[in-house]
Amino acid sequence: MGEIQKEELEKLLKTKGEVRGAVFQTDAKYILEKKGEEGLKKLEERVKSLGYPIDYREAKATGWYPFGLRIISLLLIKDTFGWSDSEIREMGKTAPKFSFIVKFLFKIFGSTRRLVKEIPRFWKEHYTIGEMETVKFEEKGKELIVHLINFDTYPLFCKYLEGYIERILLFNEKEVVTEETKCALKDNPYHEYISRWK
Amino acid sequence: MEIKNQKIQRDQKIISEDLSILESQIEGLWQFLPIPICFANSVFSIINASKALEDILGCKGVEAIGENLKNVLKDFERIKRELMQQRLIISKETTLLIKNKKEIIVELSAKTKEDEKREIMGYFFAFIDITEVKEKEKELQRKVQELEKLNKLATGRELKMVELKKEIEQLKNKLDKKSS
Repeated sequence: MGEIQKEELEKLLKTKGEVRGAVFQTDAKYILEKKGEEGLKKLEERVKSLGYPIDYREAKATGWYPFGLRIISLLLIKDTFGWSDSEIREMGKTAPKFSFIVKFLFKIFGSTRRLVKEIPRFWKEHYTIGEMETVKFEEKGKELIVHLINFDTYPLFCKYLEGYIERILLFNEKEVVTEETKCALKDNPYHEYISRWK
Repeated sequence: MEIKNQKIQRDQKIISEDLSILESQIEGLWQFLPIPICFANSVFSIINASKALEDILGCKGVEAIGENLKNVLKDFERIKRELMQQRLIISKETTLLIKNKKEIIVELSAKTKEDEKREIMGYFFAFIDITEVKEKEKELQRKVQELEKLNKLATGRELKMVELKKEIEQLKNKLDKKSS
């Protein structure tokens, strides 16, 4: 194993909460696209050798899985392929393109305004821990601020989420830039993501 | 109360499983369909695209998802206007802009997806590649023009021959008169 320690992963496994199986499907699709079948097999072998029950091929999109596995999956992907944090951010940015739930919600709530309204529900569709809320949405000012509260997990996930939010807005807006301006893991009461577009 | 909760949990599990099946069926359909089709949201960003469309556009994997149709359709504004007014377009000829600055002539059909208040929530698009048909049409046109030319030439020759025959006849008559 590279930089990750088994004890660290074991600790993560004890994190409370659950996540939809769709995230593992999304991870698998991204790896298939970037590294091909061989890459996915390499990751699966790594996960299996460490004894984590992540089934990239058979996970049910709408099924619930322990939240810790979500972070473990990201950490093992980063470690297996030697990716940087910014590559994990890129992975987060591509994820909504694969996500059935995202595509489904986009078919129902086409405009940014309608979509922003759905953010809290959207979060709950994926995670049973934390709450995401829209603090500010200015259509004319082209700015969105969201807070993620009660969600202290792992810094790598912050990067992933930064990319994820950016892509969601990119479906509707041009030249979106999203940045995490406050992190709950750095003595802030919540995570804050500010997105601006042209 | 506990029995009720158990029933709810059981129902949720069944719904969840059904949704998973539905998801894989829908995704499978997008992959399988041999027709280039897509669903775009209200601002014309592609949300779902069939494998056939990705192939036509020369996109790899999910590259087409998130792409705006404005960058793909040559006369996007005209199509958008028409779609907003009529909410349905059937077999309209247009040009698809694909990778490497290439163009493909297609027949476009599109339909709006509306909510119960008839507010537009997205659009379905289908494209039929007619580049080959167009090329054959051009070839046919060229051949028709060649035939017309040939026909003109043949007709002209025939008229000349009639004229020459008349002339021969006249000369023959003159010769006959002289010898008699």
